[in-house]
Amino acid sequence: MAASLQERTERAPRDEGRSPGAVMDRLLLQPNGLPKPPSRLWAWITAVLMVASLYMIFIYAPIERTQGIPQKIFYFHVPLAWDAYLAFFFTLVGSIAYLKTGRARWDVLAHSAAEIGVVLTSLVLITGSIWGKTIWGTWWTWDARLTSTLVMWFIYVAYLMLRSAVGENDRGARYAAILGIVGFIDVPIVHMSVTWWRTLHPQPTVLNPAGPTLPGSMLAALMVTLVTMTILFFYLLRERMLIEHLRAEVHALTDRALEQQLSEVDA
Amino acid sequence: MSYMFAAFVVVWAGIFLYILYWQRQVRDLRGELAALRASESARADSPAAGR
Repeated sequence: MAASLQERTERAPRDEGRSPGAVMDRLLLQPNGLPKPPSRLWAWITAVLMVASLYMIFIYAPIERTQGIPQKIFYFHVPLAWDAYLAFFFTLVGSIAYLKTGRARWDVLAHSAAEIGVVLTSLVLITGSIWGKTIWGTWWTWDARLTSTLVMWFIYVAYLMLRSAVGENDRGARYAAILGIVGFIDVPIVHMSVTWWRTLHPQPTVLNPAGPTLPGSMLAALMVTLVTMTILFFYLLRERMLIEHLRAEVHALTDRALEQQLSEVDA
Repeated sequence: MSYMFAAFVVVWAGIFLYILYWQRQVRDLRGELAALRASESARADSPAAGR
């Protein structure tokens, strides 16, 4: 147990090569291997972009003719879903890399991204329900997109529950990594569900094989919000990874203090 | 209109509460770490540590 905690607070220097792992290291880690703390500049950029998104959504983008104002929920709902996919992709990458290398930093990445993904998917489900109530007249229907998204939410809630049940050790990290890899199978199913099955949910408006079906001003508002949400995601990921690292350091120091106290009592 | 505002409040309030909760955790953890490090160095300096 002590060894695994020590390993979880490892400060191996980051990889400076050209592999995907090295790119990820440079994005998320300081040269000494510690997670990069979210900088003030990053926070300010996110805040300014959020204000720009609000301007684009409520002032720049026109009101949709058939749905009216509730259509503006779409500008939150779609970027949140994109961020959730991104979060679960990071969980997949972190899980594969952890099983391959055994380095705790990858497990921290997978765990942090999964937690953020669950929060974002919860917001996707809530905003989707609110939109559904206004347009379909119901909060929920067992449509393929809604059901597969709910399944995705359950998979990653199970991932977090597994972690808290097994504990912060190598065994827990390995089990979670397997679930993080297998669970990702549902992500493309969620995305393709509107194409594969007949659903009530609207068809893709941007990643449509025939090209984007949105008018230019609406597409611009969506793109600004997508960029904002992506930057917000990286802000959240850095902050979450920092917490995980601080927590591991507290555990390691507490363990060391206990061991010292025990050895003093024995002496 | 009210539904749209409900969605707006859920999204932004959800994200901001999540960030505030984390910032509190970072502050608490940093405080805990500082206290643990201080007690560790105090133990190392104490005469009992030399035995």
